Amino acid sequence: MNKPSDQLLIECALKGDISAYDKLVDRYKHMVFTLALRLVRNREDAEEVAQDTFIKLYSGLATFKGESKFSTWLYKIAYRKGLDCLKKQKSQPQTKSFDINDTSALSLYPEIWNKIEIKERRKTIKRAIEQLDNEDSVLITLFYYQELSLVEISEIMGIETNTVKVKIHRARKKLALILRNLLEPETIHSYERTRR
Amino acid sequence: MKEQEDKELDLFLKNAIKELRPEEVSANFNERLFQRIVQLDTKELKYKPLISKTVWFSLALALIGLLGIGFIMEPNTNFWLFSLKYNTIGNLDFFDVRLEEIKWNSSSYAVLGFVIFILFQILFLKHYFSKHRVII
Repeated sequence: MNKPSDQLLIECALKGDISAYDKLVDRYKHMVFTLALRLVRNREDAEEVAQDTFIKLYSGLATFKGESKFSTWLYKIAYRKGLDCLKKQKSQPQTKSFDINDTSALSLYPEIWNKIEIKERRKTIKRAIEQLDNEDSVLITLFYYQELSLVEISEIMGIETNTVKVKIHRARKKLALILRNLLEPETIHSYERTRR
Repeated sequence: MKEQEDKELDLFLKNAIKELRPEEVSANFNERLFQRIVQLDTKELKYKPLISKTVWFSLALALIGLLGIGFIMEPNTNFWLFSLKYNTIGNLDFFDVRLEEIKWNSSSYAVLGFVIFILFQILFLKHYFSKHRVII
């Protein structure tokens, strides 16, 4: 059976059908939470951000005109709520410096990567994303996990499309370096030995 | 060469990140959310009088005070409020107005229309909006 579209659920929710809103929440809550967690870095605050996002959505649902995708509109609310939360914590988005010119041996990754068990791979990539700074972490999640376009990301984060492109390029390299550092050195060395 | 490396990295990350699962919210997320929404609705729909009880009480006190002064004080007393012929209020002569004495002209029709309009707003519109919840 086909899932009802977002628009249909929105229309029903606006007519007072609370179960339609419940379905809408179920559809997006994990992604909104993931996005919030990337930004605020602790589960408690991230859950609060996700709650605030859906409350804001509930009171503003009638103002959604469908000019952009519903998910883009929702993530934009979540991103702003996340930034508000960071302001409340009086902390600035973290920034870390990396020497991103060091891209040697990046091409080795797929082979090494595929030798690791999927569970371990998930753990490693998650840890790597967590080590990125807040903004890069959000960018990587939106671009690679949600597969949003540069235009959609620029709308969510309120920055120019070209800036998004440059930032993703840098975040990608940072992530690659973190991944290399996270992978067991023996794994890389043994792989390199077998290649010789 | 560098472009090729970038492309490979891009493809690698696409596949690697796709394997990730989204972070999961707590089990009672929806329940807590709807509790907050219900609270929000109750707060929004709670009846809030236009004129508070304190203001009504102050107005009543002021009116009783003025009427009291009008009844108690002698008409010939030299008091600034009496220059407004306010002290004749005790005679209750404002009840003596007869309909045939009223001169009906465009101004009186306008005043009557205005009063009806205000009454309509108070009685009907308030009732209408209290029954129809508007999501803003």
